[in-house]
Amino acid sequence: MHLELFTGRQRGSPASRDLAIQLACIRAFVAEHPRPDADTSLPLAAELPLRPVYSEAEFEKRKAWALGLSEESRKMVLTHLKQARALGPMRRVARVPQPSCIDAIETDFPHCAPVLEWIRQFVALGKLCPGQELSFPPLLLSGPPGTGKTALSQRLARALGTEHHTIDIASLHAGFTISGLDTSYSTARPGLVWDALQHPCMSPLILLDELDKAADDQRRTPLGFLYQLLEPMTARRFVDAAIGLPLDASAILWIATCNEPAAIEPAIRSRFQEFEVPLPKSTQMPAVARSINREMLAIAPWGDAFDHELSPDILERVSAIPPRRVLHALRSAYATAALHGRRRLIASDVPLAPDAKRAHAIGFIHQ
Amino acid sequence: MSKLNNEAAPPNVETIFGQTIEMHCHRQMDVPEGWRPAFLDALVALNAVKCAKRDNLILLSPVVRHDGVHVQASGEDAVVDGICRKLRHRTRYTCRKCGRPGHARRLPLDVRVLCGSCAAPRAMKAKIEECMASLTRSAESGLDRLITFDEMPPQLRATIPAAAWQKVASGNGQGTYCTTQSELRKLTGHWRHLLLALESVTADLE
Repeated sequence: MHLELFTGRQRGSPASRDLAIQLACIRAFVAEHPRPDADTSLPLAAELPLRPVYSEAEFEKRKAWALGLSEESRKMVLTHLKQARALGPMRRVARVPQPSCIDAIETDFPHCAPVLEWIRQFVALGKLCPGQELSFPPLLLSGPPGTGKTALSQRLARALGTEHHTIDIASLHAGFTISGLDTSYSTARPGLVWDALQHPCMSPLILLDELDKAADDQRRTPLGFLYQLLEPMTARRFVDAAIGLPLDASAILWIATCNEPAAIEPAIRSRFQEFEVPLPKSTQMPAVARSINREMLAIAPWGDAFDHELSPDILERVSAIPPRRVLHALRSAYATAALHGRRRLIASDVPLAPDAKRAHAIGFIHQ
Repeated sequence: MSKLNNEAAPPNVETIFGQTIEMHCHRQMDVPEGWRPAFLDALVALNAVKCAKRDNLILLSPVVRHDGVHVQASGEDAVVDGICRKLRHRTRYTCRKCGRPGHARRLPLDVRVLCGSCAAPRAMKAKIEECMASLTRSAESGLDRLITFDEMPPQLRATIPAAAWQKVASGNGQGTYCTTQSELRKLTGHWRHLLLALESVTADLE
């Protein structure tokens, strides 16, 4: 006889019918007896938006199909199906973040205000959903190198509480890295999209870095997978070539970065909402420098040894440096301070901005 | 069956078997409400198989156990045993409170066959009490442990506001939702309020 232990860990899938009934009853009971100080606009944890990432019937079919494969392929497919089964078909979807999260990003990325304003619009739209589910169309950030496009994408993923995956398009030679390699090949294995969806949250943020630098092969573009995945209707039934189980990939959040949007294939470019990310203005640079400094000290093993605040004269000096070089400049500054036995930076620790003429001193001579 | 009945004892004279079935009918209130339809169906089935051969069979008093209603006859009879076994099996998977499909669940003090709806308040109560006891113990030790979303029983999660959960990085590089014991301590007032409301709902089985 099946005996459910109330005192132990819950057995079976959380999406089981019995548990669903129990949770519905508990939610109704809690709703009838609200906390006096409760903010009723906030959803309960049990109401986190959930969606099936695959169909149970199709899963069983695929499992039966896998039994007919060669031993190696069967083992590979069944292992991945087992992992998918362990997570269950119901997965969390990204929830709208608190407005303060977007405000905090804007403080650190003041030059990206239009992008963040656009995301705020979708946050407002998401709040109208019963589960406060967040989704936004694929986003293309274009602009000169070193303006913080990649960093912005990582900060967004953190604010939304989703996983962040990066695909370096410049080094991508074949689409199977993303969409899987068929089991007829001996090296068959699922692609990055399958791996990204094997997580309790089915809304990972996938960054397509340097989208304009895709290998230029007229016969077969490695970006072919994007035609299906960037369209919500077709992404609902994304099939990984190795596993063959249709997955709902429509909740994936896509952000692409590029320097030259014109170099992107028009059919792919048209699927994105484009924003230009300019270099921060000199008035915006102190905020950017503060953000870079904070991020660096948070992960550096020696970060706690220093005072995290940057004085105005340091900020002034750092503001003259291009954003990409700020990290190196600050790291050099901390190294100098450590050498002199100080726990706080002084302006002279920060190396001077590289001279534009000296930058071309080595290599080809520009006439 | 009717042939057997015709061969039974003379009219107007009740057999012992018939009398015990009637006695069981009067005792139906001893059977939990959700199991009563199954119990009455079994009595109807037993009444239908009354015959001369079974005149001297005595149905022993029904025993209501945690896993169903047990009825037994004094002698061996395959048909009667089959009906009793069917009753036992049916009640084992029927909620004793409402009659919907259910299964045996462990309550703090006993085991009861309940459906999801009837089990929910009891499960919530058990989980809240367990969590509050754990919070009291940890308060004495001064620890503030991190509790992951998966670690938290689903019945308890349903009472926790989403704002109490924070995304944190885990060892394998993937993030997970967590809350802390100090965050849960802020909810104890609400949980006490819920426990009070649950008293009346869960009292009948305690």
